[in-house]
Amino acid sequence: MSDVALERVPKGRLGVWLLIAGEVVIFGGFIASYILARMEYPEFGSKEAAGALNVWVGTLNTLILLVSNWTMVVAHEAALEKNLAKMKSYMTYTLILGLIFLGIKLGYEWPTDFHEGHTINSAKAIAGAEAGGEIMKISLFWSYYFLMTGFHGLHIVVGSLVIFFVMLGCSKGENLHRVELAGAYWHLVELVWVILFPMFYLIK
Amino acid sequence: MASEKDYHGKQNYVMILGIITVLLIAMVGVSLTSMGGSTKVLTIVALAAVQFYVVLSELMHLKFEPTVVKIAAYLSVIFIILFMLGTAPDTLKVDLEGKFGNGSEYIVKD
Repeated sequence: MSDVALERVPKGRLGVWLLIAGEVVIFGGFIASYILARMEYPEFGSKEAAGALNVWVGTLNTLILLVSNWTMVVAHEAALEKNLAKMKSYMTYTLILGLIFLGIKLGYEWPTDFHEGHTINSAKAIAGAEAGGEIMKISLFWSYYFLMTGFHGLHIVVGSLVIFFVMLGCSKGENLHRVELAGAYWHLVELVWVILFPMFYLIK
Repeated sequence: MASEKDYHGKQNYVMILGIITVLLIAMVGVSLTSMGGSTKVLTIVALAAVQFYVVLSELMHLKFEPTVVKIAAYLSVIFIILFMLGTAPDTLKVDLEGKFGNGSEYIVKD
């Protein structure tokens, strides 16, 4: 059990894992809250709620994020081999894929939802109409959806910035261990999406 | 303890990407079938759980990390599951159509 000793773990790696553990708790709180609400309100699965989301666009985005995780581990392997050109190429691919994910989310999915009247507070958008119980429940679904996917998107932005600055910093072959740390954060983003995707898009 | 040497060159990342992609396709496929409600949900959750484990273990290299890191990672997941189980019985059940919980009155009102 000697590897239980904290001092034997590199500080950077330990720090990132503690950050990840904290993030898991934050996202876990959101997810737990959603699951409890979902069990309470079957309306979340209706055509006006989860049924209105485009499964194929969600699947495409999931695939893009998956491939970006692969390019990130390849960049990490390249960093271990001190192959700087390959490392930079694959980190760039990761960045591009992350931006494509965000582009689809912010440029297509969300505008489509807004156009259909779904916002983080849809009930208010239908103000004036009779916002009965069912509308409120459906509105609650969209509040969860925009809050969690928005928070996840924010992590993509932060992750992309981290990867960009790590790539710049490591381009001279120094501090290459940071590629692994940036990668761990990027995989966390994937880890969260692995839960969010089926939760919102597939379970109806 | 684990070092970068431990996982360097030992992972076939193309195969891992393939496994995760197959799991994704299976999840979407199951969601499109006419399978019964609970069975479908449980199958999707199980596939998502496997995907979660593969990413955590194989891409984030948790399986190569020292015990203390594994403890921190798994504790956070266990903590949130306990939190959910613990709060479930106390979840406020608001009847949005009821007399006192009519959300349209206090949320939509301008």
